[in-house]
Amino acid sequence: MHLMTWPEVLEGLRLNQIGLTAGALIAVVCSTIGLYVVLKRIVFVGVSLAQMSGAGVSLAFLLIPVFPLAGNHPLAVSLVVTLVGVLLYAQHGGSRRVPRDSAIGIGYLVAAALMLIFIVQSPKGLEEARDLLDGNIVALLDRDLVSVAVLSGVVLAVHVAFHRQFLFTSFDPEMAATQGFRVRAWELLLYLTLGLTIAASIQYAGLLAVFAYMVMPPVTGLCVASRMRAVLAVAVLTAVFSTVAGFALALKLDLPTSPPTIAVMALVLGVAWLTSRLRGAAA
Amino acid sequence: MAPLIELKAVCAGYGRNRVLHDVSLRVDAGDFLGIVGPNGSGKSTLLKTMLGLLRPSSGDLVRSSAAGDVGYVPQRDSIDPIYPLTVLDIVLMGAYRRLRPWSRIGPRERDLAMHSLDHVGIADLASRRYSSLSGGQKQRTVIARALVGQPALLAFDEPTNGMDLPAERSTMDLIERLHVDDGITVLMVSHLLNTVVNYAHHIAFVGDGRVRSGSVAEMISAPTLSELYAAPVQVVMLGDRRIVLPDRGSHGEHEVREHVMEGAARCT
Repeated sequence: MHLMTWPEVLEGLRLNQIGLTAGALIAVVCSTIGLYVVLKRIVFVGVSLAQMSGAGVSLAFLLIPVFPLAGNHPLAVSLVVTLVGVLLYAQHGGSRRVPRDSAIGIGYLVAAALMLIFIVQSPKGLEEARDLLDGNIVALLDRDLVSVAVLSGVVLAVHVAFHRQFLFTSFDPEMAATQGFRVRAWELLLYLTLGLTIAASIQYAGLLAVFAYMVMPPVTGLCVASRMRAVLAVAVLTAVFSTVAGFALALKLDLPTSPPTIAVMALVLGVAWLTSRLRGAAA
Repeated sequence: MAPLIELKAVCAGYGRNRVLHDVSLRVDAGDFLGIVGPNGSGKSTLLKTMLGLLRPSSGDLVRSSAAGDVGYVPQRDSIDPIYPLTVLDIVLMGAYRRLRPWSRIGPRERDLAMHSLDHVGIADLASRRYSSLSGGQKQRTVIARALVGQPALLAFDEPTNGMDLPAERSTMDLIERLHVDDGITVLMVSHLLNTVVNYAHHIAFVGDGRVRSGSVAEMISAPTLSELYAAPVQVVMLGDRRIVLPDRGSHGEHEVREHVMEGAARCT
């Protein structure tokens, strides 16, 4: 096996600018939304929606023989499946018999089982499973980059415009309701942007990386920063840095891009956590 | 004069679980209504229904336009300390409804927030992280946030829960000052009967899904409370303060006196 030299890695990064740019955009938008996922303590909603999205993509490939259009538009099928999950989770506040976290766990398990069934039955088979988990960002085309850029632009614009509404209704929904904010509507919009981002990102970056972007960079930010904007800045920088460094390591070690990207995020998070512990001990 | 808030034969609850039955209650301008009752009796449900957070399953909720903005002060434990927010960030939330999407927080909103912080005596904590505050300071922060909207009515949900005595006294004095000096109508839920009865003008007792209300003099008497709690209760006057005690029947006078002194410590 030939391992690249570092100059070859740099050349590889230069030649893969489309994939790298798309990866960075996905990193920015996922880590931005991920801050709410972590603060609202709905990490398992994130992983469950990601799994549903994965099931949607594999369903699209399964349908190729009978409905070729679906196979050509896996994003559309994935989006529909994910939005069903969004509507379920945004409405389900839990009950005595079915607690909310159990409902989320059931959603995850059903989606995971369906994804495996669809993959085994689909014409693409295990190759598809690997792409779904690891992503295939190196193979992106110009039109894919345009799709990612449009999605990122729309989702980030919504979050910039309505960040106060999202923050207030997440932080203190009852007070927000007394002030006239339609809490359920804002929560649904937040979940819709979450579902849209996951569904669109997963087929490029892979299930593992998308979920990691949503959790690890925001937690890194919370370890080292104490203001909302600073936390968000650290999260976005961590996600983008990990994407570039992970991409380089993937080229260097001939690996799929997700595992080294997540490894870099874990390393940065470890350093941040250690820094916060040391700072806490010194204070 | 029309009441600020009036419930007419209201039933309310969560899903199929009906918590309140046939409740009629009114809050007039300038009133201080204490909502008391045993734990789990539906006090917070009543407050949420009065504020419109919970839709009645039957009956009518009437809110006068004079009620204007309502300042809601939730239980401070309901606020998650994981959010990386300063005291000023949280108080500014009280001004969010004035702002349009894309717009920035301006000097007017900042001035209002700082004025509210100053009013509750914690302007010096504006840049401190909320999670680093004491219970009393957190309570003042959420009160300041409610004041930013310049409300005619403030609604408190267990404002002194889990506080030590000085913090409890200090918080109650602040609420009384807002009521007396600023003329703000107050609704206050608390399970601490001895705290509420010495500040409120009217009492609404919640029990078994029913609400019985009246003036403090009417409600805080041994026969009434004994009937409401379904247990013998004594009411002792200490100066102009009322102290409610469980009636220990055959227990000695010394023990009752100890209770009185304990209650006195909470009220003086």
